[in-house]
Amino acid sequence: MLKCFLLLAVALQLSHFVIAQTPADTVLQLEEVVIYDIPEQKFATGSKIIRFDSAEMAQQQSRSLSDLLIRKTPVYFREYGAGMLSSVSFRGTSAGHTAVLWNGLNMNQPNLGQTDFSLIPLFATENIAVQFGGSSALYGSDAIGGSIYLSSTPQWQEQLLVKVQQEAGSFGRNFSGISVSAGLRNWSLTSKIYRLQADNDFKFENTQKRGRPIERNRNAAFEQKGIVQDIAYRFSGNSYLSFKSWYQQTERQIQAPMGNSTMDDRQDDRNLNLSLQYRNNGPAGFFDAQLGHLYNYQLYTAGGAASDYRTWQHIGNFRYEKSIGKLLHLRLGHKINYIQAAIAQYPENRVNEARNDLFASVRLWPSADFTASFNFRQAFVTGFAVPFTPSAGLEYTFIRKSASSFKWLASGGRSYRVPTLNDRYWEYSGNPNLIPENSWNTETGLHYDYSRQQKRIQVRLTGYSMWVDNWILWLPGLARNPEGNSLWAPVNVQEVHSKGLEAEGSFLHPLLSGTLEAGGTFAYTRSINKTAKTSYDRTVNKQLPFVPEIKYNTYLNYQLNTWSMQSNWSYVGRRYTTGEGISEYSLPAFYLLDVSVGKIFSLEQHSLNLLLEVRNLLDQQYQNYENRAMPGRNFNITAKYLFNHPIN
Amino acid sequence: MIRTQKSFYLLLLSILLPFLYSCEDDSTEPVIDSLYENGILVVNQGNFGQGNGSLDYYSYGQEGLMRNVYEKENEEPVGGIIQNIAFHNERMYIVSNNSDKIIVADGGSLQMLNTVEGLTTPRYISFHGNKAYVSVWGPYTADWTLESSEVAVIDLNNHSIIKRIPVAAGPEGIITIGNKVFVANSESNIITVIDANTDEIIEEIETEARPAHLLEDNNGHLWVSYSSGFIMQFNPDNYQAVKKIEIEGNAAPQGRMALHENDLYFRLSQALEYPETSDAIYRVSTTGDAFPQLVMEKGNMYTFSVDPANGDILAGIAAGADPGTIVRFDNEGNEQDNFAAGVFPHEIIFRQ
Repeated sequence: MLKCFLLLAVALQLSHFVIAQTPADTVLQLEEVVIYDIPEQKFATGSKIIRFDSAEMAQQQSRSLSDLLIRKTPVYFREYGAGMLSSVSFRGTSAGHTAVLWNGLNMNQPNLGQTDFSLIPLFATENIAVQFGGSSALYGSDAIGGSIYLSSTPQWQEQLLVKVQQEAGSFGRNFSGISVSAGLRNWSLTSKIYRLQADNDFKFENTQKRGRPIERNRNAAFEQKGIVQDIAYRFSGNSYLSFKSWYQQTERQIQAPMGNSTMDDRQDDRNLNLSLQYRNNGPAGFFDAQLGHLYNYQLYTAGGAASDYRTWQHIGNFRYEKSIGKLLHLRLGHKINYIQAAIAQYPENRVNEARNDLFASVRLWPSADFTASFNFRQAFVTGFAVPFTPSAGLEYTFIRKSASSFKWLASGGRSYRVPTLNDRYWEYSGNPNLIPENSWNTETGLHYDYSRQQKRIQVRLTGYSMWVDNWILWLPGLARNPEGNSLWAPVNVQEVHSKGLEAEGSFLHPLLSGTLEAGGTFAYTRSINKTAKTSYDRTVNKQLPFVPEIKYNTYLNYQLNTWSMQSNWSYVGRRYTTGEGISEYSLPAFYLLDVSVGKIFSLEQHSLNLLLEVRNLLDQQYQNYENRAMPGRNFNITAKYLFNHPIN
Repeated sequence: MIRTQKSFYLLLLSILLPFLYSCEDDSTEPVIDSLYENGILVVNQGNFGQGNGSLDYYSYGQEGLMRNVYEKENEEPVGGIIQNIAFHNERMYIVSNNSDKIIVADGGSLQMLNTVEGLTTPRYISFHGNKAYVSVWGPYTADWTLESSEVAVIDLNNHSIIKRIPVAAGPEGIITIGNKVFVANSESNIITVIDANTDEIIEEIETEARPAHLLEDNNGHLWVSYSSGFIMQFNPDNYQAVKKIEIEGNAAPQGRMALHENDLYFRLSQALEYPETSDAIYRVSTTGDAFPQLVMEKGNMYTFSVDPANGDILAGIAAGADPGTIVRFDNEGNEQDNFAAGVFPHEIIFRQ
């Protein structure tokens, strides 16, 4: 949506591009064309959505999702070092306020209520849709600040595509990946296997020491291995069964904070995602039935001591959609999620919980220029009164000419977040009286599109205002263990008002027999605390910690025949590290410049792509979380061999 | 969070062998001529994982409140978690728990002079002559127990660790009375006594619960607080219990005790209906048999200290991961004024 494609990437992955081109509004054409996959976001009328398809991500496939989003969207991440825990912040909210859906299943770990974005390598995903603002009516719990939708679609074209990718980079970085995608009669098969490792022993300026000596980063090596297996069978023209699986094993040292010379912590994660799905799009309507299973295991060791946890989610998802006439589209659905957690600090080391969601959506398009959606969801959680969450949105194209259009968008709704299992069950601290966090979100936007021959301009402007109350914070001294020691405990204490402006733009133009693409994003975020926790509280009406007021990025790409050149400039403003909002406790602003140059060699049916990247070219010293060093200038070279990928 | 406690009683259970004990005064604090001589040093522990501990200084002079003075003087942050700061022979010793080290700085200028490393989770520090004794938890074992706790003996001439004395699990409060170093091992029921001349363990006092913090009163008696809910007075010569103050209900002493003249002050924290708690300061005479008296209550109180000049009580109010506040109360518990602190105000030290 924001950036349609990088031309280089189009050349690289033509067939993937065809899939990516499936417009969001295909539902309009249901009668004419058989559509197997209706985009999840079609009821998100009036919301801002940034989409990345595999073609667009082709250049960064060995990177993590946080690497992509921090450079290409207004979203901020607290990164606890390179390749370390990366927790997301949408529009000034915190990590638990983002729903992360893998093929429709919320991946947020039920004990923590959040997802570590460093555990999502782009290589393991196909399509990414990033939706801003609250959308619990569509996605359920956690979707307060935003939602991220990761999905893959079956590949029915008769072909065999093979990709072999090898990368080597600074600080012992090494990536190997093989991807096979085949369509054979009624079968679709995608297999991927990958491995990424890094020593992360880069040098950094130690801001914790006088004179800022250069030191070497320690205890930050990691290895990540994964396998993706998707298989689908098409019964007839309008129904198919798919099985999707993703297993990943990540072994990490935990990067020592600056100046710490003894820390030897380690973390091992094992994650398994499974989905079995049947879809039938017939005259009676569109049926979608899905069984999902998500498993997470984590082992943390510190100085010889170890603790681990396991969580399981068993999810059943059923949806029915039907077009009534040409102007109305309906959806009804039911989701059941049975959660199990085996954690030593829970009562009897185990917690089970069932969650049921009933939801309905209506989409209207009385004219080609006007669309409106209404969504409703009611969740039922053991022992909880979860609020009823409605949302509504509209889009109106008020100027439509042959080459350009102006569209106005508006949306609003209620969202919620169920307290995590840790919030409720952690020994001595867990608070059984917590209630769900509650949020109201409104936003409005203006989209301008221009397209003539090879020129294209897109501009999107968005303003939003969001209230979150009953925001859960862990505060000290609220609980005690049997020995009488004072402990932290969670309470529904905070009220936050977040408002801001966001802008995205892109510009595509032929230049000297090549193509120039330029664009960028800009975000102004005021996310302020409205609650005094004591009578001496100095944080009221101050910016929340780790929320940059200003964040922007700009990019400039040029493509000429088989050569390509990319550059990306990103800026993250000052972030306060406490709620007091004073510069003594803050991380200074930083900017990053990444440049790369690529070349494609055509070898009959195949092609070889080479890419040389220099990241952080200006060798900036920066931090996304306090005292966690990030790498300075670093290099990466990619060789990608594509079988059956003619470039012309 | 501020609430009155009505159902709250303190009982003086037993009074055993009260007798007077005179002690030699060997802690003559040298006069320091500098900016940081006449005021209040506030030690902010910092939030775990953020490493944002800091030192603030409230000068009685024109300067008033100066925040983050250690970083200003040293051009580097003090880091965190800061567990304890103590002054001895014109030097300031900063025990940094999470960074596993002790920073030695000039007591007057706060300029860093040296560091002592090689300590896993150091907690509190005490002195005897030219030696320092540091309680050190040591690393956890695989099942989260402490099996290598120790007291590290540091030679203050060259800041080297000259001896590591294994002690029972979780050494916390540590004080020197005469030639004896007392160590409260908070994960066991033992107070270790070390001879400061030989650095050998001379006694292990078995206690009826886990001891946490120690204090010496003006008569040379040892006071021990137990986070399970009582306070005891011991004779440091024969290690016999003298007095026990038992606290009813689920209230328990938290953090360190303070002494002003012949009054012992301690902070009680009580869990009310979850997750409400109450923090209150009580006062009891170290000599008589009187019951402890409630001085004041304040929610989120994380530490307190008593001004030796006038008996005012300074309370450190914590605000989670956000910076806290220091609030001054007079000796009757009436609120006077307040000033800003850093994250987790943990110790309030009077420099005068």
